[in-house]
Amino acid sequence: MNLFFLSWKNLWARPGSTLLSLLLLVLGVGLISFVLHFSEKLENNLIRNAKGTDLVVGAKGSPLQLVLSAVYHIDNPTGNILLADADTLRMHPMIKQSLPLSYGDSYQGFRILGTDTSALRWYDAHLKAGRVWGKSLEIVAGASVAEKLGLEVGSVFFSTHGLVSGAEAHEDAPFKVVGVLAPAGNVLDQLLLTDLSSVWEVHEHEHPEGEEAPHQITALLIRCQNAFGILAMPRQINENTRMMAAVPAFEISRLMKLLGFGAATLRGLAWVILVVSAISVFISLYTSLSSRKYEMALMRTMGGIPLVLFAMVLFEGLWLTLTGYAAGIFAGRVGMIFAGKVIDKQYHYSFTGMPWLKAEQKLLALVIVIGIVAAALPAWQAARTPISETLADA
Amino acid sequence: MLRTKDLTFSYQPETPGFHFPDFRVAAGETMLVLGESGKGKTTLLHLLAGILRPSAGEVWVGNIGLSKLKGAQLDRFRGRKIGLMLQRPHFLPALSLEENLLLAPWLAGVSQNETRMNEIAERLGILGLMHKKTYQLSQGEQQRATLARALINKPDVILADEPTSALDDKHCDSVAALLKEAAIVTGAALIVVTHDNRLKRLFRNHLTLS
Repeated sequence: MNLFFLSWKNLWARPGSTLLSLLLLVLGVGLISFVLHFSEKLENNLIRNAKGTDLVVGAKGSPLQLVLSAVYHIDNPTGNILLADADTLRMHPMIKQSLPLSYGDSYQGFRILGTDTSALRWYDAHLKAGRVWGKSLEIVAGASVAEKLGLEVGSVFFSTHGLVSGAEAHEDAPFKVVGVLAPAGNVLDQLLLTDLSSVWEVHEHEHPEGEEAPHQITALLIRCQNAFGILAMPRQINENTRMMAAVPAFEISRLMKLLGFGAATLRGLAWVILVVSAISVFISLYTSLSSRKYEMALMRTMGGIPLVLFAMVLFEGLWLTLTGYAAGIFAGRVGMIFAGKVIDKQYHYSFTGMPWLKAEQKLLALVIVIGIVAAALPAWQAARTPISETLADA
Repeated sequence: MLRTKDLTFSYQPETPGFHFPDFRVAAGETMLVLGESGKGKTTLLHLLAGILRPSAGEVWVGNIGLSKLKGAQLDRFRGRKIGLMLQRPHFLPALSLEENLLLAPWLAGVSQNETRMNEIAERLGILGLMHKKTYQLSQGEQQRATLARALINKPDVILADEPTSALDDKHCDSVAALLKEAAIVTGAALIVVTHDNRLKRLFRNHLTLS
């Protein structure tokens, strides 16, 4: 017999109210943990993929849409821009580096991105097998696409028009995989890279015979020489050209503000649930006392000092909140795994690794405080059970 | 082993309370305290156990006067030296019989001697019930279990409050016999407080409160 065992047993002698309190704790802790992990992963992903891209230039439309499509590859493009216009812009003295992008087709739901071979340097990616593309219709597959679709050097496939799988296939222009990338930890992992000219070749038949259509691309990623460029260029581009410039950093912070509101709402709800769970722990312990009064007196007759009774009830509160915390942290991770599956399926982004976050460690301290505060009054009440009166009343 | 002198108690000051006759019970001896309801039987028992403090007078267990012991000291002393068998068999419903029995040494702060526990349980015929919850036991089994719990810390004094009032004649005799035997085997002073007249013929030494 010891204090921990006794408290634990007492807790489960009243399974109904114990389970109710646990459920509330799991809900509160789980929700907080889930929101913490989710927003952390989301923010990490957004920031990591935008790293090094100061500006995105594309067709006029929604700047957020342009950033989502050109940087994260999760939205539709705003339209196309003329290659000639883009090439002129690339000569601008404030630009340090730029990367043309052409997209709109996909294979099995994974996007095909036409670009030039400097993309690998831009995204800090390295080949795991094969070589980079040398001519049109050659493909270098990102690490997770290659793994999920089982692509390897030598594989051949037909792209589909548009960004959803199952749409019309371009059956006259087969793509051939010539290289596979090592995991880069960014958006490149879920893309199929090819030359800009591949996209033009696949879509050539869409123009009337003999008419030479001007080459188009979808967007241009830009790295500026300095911060002044980031501030000055968008205005110049938006006012003087048929194109639009968007600043990813600015668009992300706007997006995070919008999402942050949702996260704050969920977190607020979680705090309310935590408060309710604290009340439930208190009520559960307090109401159990009246039926356990005789037990308490009995323990006193067997030599139990008031401090032991106090500690026993206090530990019942602590056991409850600590078990709730552990189960809640576990539930939050299970939730993340499911959310990760959905996001992987929809956007091909994978969320991996769930460390014990600092904020979760603080939550543990808070939960311990909740347990102590909720149990303190019932514990004190138990400690001062009058022995003689209680025994005589029975 | 147990001795009282000028024991007086009143629930409110200034009102006439109970005054109990002096008595002493030696190790291995038994005494039956009889009396109608309201004559202070339970009060006396609580005074002897140190659950109530007397207004005047003293209780000695061995050569220790209970009034000399303070708070937690008295609790520990009670746990170690006094085995209490309460009116109704009561246990912690969360625990098995075995765990309930081990609660007594744990609370008294002495070692949890399982060998001794099993010996007592075997003598009282409840060894096979050790893993049952106490509410699954029959009334007779519960009665024997409370006796086992009262004996487990080798008390100097055993106090039993109405141990037989709920039992039929057959069980009444066997519980009385078990109590007397326990007092002799453990060398404890046994005091049984009751209004059950059936016990009169089973105990020689009587004290009647009036």
